[in-house]
Amino acid sequence: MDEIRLINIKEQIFAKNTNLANEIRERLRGKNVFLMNLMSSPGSGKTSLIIEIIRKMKGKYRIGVIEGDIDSLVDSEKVAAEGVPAVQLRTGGSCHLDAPMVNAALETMDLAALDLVLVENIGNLVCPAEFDTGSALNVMILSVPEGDDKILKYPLMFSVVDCLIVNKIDYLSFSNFDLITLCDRMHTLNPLAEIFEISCANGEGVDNWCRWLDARVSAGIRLEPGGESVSTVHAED
Amino acid sequence: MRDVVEDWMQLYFDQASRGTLAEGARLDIQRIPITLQCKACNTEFTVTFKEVVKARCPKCGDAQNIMKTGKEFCVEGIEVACNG
Repeated sequence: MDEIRLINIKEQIFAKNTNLANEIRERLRGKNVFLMNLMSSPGSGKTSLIIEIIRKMKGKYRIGVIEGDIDSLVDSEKVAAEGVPAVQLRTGGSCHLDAPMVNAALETMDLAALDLVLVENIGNLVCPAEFDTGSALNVMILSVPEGDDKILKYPLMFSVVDCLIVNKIDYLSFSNFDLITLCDRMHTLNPLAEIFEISCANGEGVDNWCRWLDARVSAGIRLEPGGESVSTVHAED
Repeated sequence: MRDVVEDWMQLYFDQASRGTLAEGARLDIQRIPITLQCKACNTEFTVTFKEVVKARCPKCGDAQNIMKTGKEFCVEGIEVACNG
């Protein structure tokens, strides 16, 4: 007669990824580099926001960018045109970035010459929410044309971020997007997250968001004495 | 809360386990209930996936909650049939 035995495993399925993500966070803390992960649907404005951050903050921080895409170099070319180092990760079909991919990109970057590294994740509200990239800050964008109901469809993503940016608010008057209901739902699901309303097209709210990011980055790393001048020299390279 | 498609997970498992001891094994996927803790009065309560963005504390009615369970993703154990 067969005997049924239960073997306890109690192993986290994402343990390997999570352990590497923790290692990345630890290593970057030691190197005084702040890593931010930016997630959203395709076309909601990740690259536009990264370009805004570069333009407004490269005088203070030495910025690098990791661009994730299934294919193409389009985004990294746009970012490199802003005069900052950019690494393109082509996932070849994979719909998210994970810690090993981000780690591989970081290994190609001169981290001693960087203060702030921005990760543009793959445009997708599902899988990127599942994988810790080793970032110190997780930010998502929801753009007005996508609709206010996305939080009902992809609650995991909205529940894992430190900040929700509502982009393209210049479209609000042309749509039935209910910003108050979205904010109510976000406060219920993830009361610790900050919410910002911006438009990368006309610049509304972008300064306010960058001030918040600046506070988070400067609390996360220490700038070298005279760091601003170091950054300025780098920016003009 | 995890976006796991159970049928696909079993299909991929069947592929990966072919020719191994685990061939033919059935995955028993258990969803952990979503438990929220009210930020105002610390009451813990369970909600469904659909309720999670509009949940109100059953005790004080507050709308801000911290998620305590529902994001687990782990292998709990393996049941093995031993001959004899």
